[in-house]
Order: sequence, then C-alpha cells, then structure tokens
Amino acid sequence: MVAISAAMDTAREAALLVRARGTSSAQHEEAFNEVFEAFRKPVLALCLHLTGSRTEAEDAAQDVFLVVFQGLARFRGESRVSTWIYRIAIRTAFRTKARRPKTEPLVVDPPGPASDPALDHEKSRQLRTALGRLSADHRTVLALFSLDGLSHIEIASTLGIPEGTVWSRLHLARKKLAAELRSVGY
Amino acid sequence: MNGCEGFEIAIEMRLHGAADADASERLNAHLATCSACRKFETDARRMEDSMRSDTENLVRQVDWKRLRARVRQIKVANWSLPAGLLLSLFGFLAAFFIGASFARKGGLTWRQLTSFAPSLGVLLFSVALFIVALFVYSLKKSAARIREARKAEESPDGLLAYCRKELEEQIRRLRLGWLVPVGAAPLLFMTAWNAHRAQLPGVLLVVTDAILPLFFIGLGLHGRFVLRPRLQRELEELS
Repeated sequence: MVAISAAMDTAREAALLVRARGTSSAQHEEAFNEVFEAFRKPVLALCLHLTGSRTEAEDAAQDVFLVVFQGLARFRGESRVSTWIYRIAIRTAFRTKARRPKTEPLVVDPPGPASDPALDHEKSRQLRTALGRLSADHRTVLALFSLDGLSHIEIASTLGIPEGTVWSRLHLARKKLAAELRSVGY
Repeated sequence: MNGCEGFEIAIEMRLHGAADADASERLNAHLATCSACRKFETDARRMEDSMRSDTENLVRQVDWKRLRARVRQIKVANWSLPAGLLLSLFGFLAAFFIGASFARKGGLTWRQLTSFAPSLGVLLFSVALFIVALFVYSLKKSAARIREARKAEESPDGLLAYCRKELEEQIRRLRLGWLVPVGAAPLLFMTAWNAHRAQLPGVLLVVTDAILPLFFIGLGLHGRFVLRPRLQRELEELS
C-alpha cells in the first residue's frame, strides 16, 4: 500500500514561504506548484472522507487550492503551512457537503476505471456510508489520523483542541465508526 | 464505558506512533490476557487500512492536470471584474484626452466640446466616487463576514445557516441587477448622441466611451440569466 504523506518539514515550509512572499509572480507560482504537489493527495483524501463523494471531494479540493493560492503570500506563519491548509480543507469540505441536497444518497459515484473489483467497491461504499453517519467532529478526527505523517500534535493544532482530547475523540469516533460499520454489514 | 478504555486509547496511540516503550510493554501484557482489546486493535488497523486504500483508489483516478487547470481558470475569472472596471476607466480617460486634444488642435470648437465634456466629466467623477465607496464598503463588509463565518464554522448547523444566509443575500443583491443595464443603456445612447452632435471622429471615441456601459450591460445580463438561477438552485437544495 502506497501511503499518502501529509508531511512537509519545517525548513521546506520556511523556504516555500519566502518564495511565496517574493515579488516576482514566477516565485509565487513556483511556491504554489510546490504546495499543490505536496498537499494534493492528503487534501483530496481529507475532502473525500469529509464529503463522502468523489465528485464533491474534487470540487472541494479545487476550492481549497484556490484559497491557498490567494492566501499563500499573505500567510503570516503563525501556524504550520500544513495546519493552515488542513483547516481550509476541513472548512471547505463541510461547506461543499452542506450544499448537497438532503435527499441525495451519500454515495452515488460510480466506480472509476482504475478501481478494484465489485467487492472492494461495495466495501468502500459501506465505509463512506458509515463515516457519513458520524458527527462532523468524529469524521474529521478519523480523516486526519488516516493521513500519514501528521502527528497528533499537528492534528490537535488543526482542530484547535488540547492534545489529550485528540486521543479521547479518536477513541470515541473509532467506537462509533465500528458500530456504524456493523450496522451497514461491513 | 468498560475497564479497558485506557488500553484502547493506548492502542490508538501505538497505532499512530505516539506510545513510548513502557506504555507499549504494558499494552502487550494486557493484550495477552484480553481478547476484547485484541479485537479492538485488529478492527482499528482494519479501519485505518480501509480508509487509506479507499483514498488511494481515488487519488489514482483523479485527473490532476484538469484539477490544476480549473484552479487557474477560476483565478482568471476572479480578475475579470477588476480588469473590466480598469479597462472601462481607461476607456473614459482615453475618450476625454482624445476630445481635449482635438479641441487644442482646433478640430473641435469649445461649444462642441462643452456639449460633450460635461457628461463625460460627470460620469468619470461618478464612476471614481462609486469605485472608492464600493472599496471602502467591501472592506468593512468583508471584515464583518469573516468574523461571522468563523463563528458559524463552530458547528455544522451554524455553517449551514450561514451558507443559506449568504446565498439569500447574494440573490437579494442580484435582484437589483436589472438596474445596471437599465442605467447603462441611456449612458450608451448619450455617448453616441453627444459624439454625433459634436461631430467627433466617431469610431474611436464611441468605442472607447462605450466600453463601460457595454461592460455593465453584460454584467447585468450575466447576473440575471446565469448567476441568479444558479444561486436559487443552491438555496433550494440547502432548504
């Protein structure tokens, strides 16, 4: 399994911010390209878990990078770049999800050409349905922990909660997800 | 709540690399005797693996070039309004200076210029005043909206209500959009009439002077027939 890395070391982040604040548009563009390459997969993964739909995840990811592009030069560095981007991603994903008609089933996307056989698709559908039944807080904490390279300290900072609360929230979310998975026959 | 809750949290911590050697050893000793915690650990790993493989399938399917191109397109679209306003302002200035230069060369009498310049001057001043007022207003409004949005994001319900309110406000603003083409059409007519009366070298002057009214007419029609129906649909879905 190829892990989706959510990390970017602090030195690289600092260099990136210098370029983003540079006067030339080429530097700005280069910084954005680097952010896009580093965060496109984790941002999409996060959006997928939070919206429960592939098309909405793509739309949300697109909006996230638009906000990042517009705000990167003005980012003051009070938190890590990753924390800032994940906060935007969470906000955007929930906004995208809130716009979905209530009557629409949670998962309607057909399997893509590269997806695994029908059984895997069914499992994936059940997982997203179960995740969709959780509260926003629980879904967010599970989605963030499923990204590789994101420490519990960064997750706490992203969510704006104490480090200890992260573990108890994850534990509670895991229990609820297990119960929901059982109810959908996973 | 059962007595194993502390160990279950320790399992989560170890799964994410946050448990030290001592805690891990204590956990192993407990796992050797507790089948419920062993099951919890297996289930937790399985759920993490499922979530990861689910996203990896998606990541493989996404057309990243298209996604990046869409971001670029929206970036360009965001610049179209200020660019349009700037172009219009430039058109006005060009019209004014062309008229003045003709007056200096004697190609235009002062009477002819005065029949044309006041309407231009008043329009130019009004547009400049409008832009400044709009800028100050939007700064104040944005600050208030950012504060409101942050508050709304504290809960999904709050966020939903905020989205609905935003949409309603945008639709209300667009309802007044018919004023834009209705206001711009006489301007367009006045420009053409004044240019004709003053016998100015028509094409260039009318083209430069007509940019602003035409831009506003386009803006008004776009709001009425494209933006408003889309926002109405979104609001219906949210309701």
